[in-house]
Amino acid sequence: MTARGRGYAVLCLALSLSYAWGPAPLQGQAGGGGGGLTLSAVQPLSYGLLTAGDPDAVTVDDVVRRGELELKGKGQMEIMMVLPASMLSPEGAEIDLDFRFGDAGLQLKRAAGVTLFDPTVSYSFFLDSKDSPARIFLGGLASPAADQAAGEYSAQITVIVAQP
Amino acid sequence: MTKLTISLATLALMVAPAGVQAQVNTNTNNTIGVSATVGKAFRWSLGQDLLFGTIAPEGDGSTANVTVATNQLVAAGGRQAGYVSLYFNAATNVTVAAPASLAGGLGGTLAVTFTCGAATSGNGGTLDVLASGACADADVLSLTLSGTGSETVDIFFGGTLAGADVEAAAADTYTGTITLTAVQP
Repeated sequence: MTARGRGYAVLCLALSLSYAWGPAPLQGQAGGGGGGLTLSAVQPLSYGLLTAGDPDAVTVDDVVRRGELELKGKGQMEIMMVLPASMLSPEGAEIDLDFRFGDAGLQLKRAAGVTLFDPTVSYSFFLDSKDSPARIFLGGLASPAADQAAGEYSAQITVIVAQP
Repeated sequence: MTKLTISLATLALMVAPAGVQAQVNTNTNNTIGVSATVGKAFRWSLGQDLLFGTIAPEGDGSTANVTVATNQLVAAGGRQAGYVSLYFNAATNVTVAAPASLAGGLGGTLAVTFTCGAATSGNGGTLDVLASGACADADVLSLTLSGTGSETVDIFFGGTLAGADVEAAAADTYTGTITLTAVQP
């Protein structure tokens, strides 16, 4: 390889490295992710004391009992939730849970209201930087059976936020 | 010129991964807990009283003991075991406060001893929860849930009046009260 040939090779390598390492973070920012997307649990969904045979619904405007997460980021996003069918006691007893439209809500920082959605299906929205962080709220219906045993019941909800 | 062509091809190949990197999805996830507490509860309902019926003393020392078994819901001579039903959804201790004697309207007393046991409600007095046994004052029946749901059990009471005590008693109607106190620890 001549000196000119080696020069081309070095130039090409430098250009390639520059493109591979340089623009990627910029593209990530433009896409709204790039490591700037965070989801933090603020408070659990807590039904509190339930009575056997007496269903109880927590609504997204129940500030004390609703589940709440904080989302920071910007750009087009999609929320998906992995919802449990029931809460379990350490002894294996179950309390049925039911989620439907209106049991999830999204509140953008600068918005006055909460946009309701169905937590059982994915929900897409655009989060502008001035609206970050956004709040995700979650309620639902718990239906203890008439013969429900006393005790502590628990489950977990996984919330996934994806950016295309 | 040939070398330049090769170099551009190299450039194109090396650019490609950067383009792929820009299409990688960005995801984040977290979990929140869901919780509830079902409170402890119990509820009483009276099934029927314990009755010894009408007893006719022999008057010659031959009067037999009068016994009502815990599973004798209906017996001859107007006798019957007593029972109460208890709904509970957590382990429950039932403390018995039983009198040592029945009190007559004229002021006399009649000594009595009790037996008791517990059965799944509706089981017709078949004691499948607690075996029948002596049931004295301050005895405790410890009831636990057999499954993952609440239960209702019937707590039965029988008893015995000694023949000698019956013969010694004045003619009268004698009554007493058994008090049950449920505590869910």
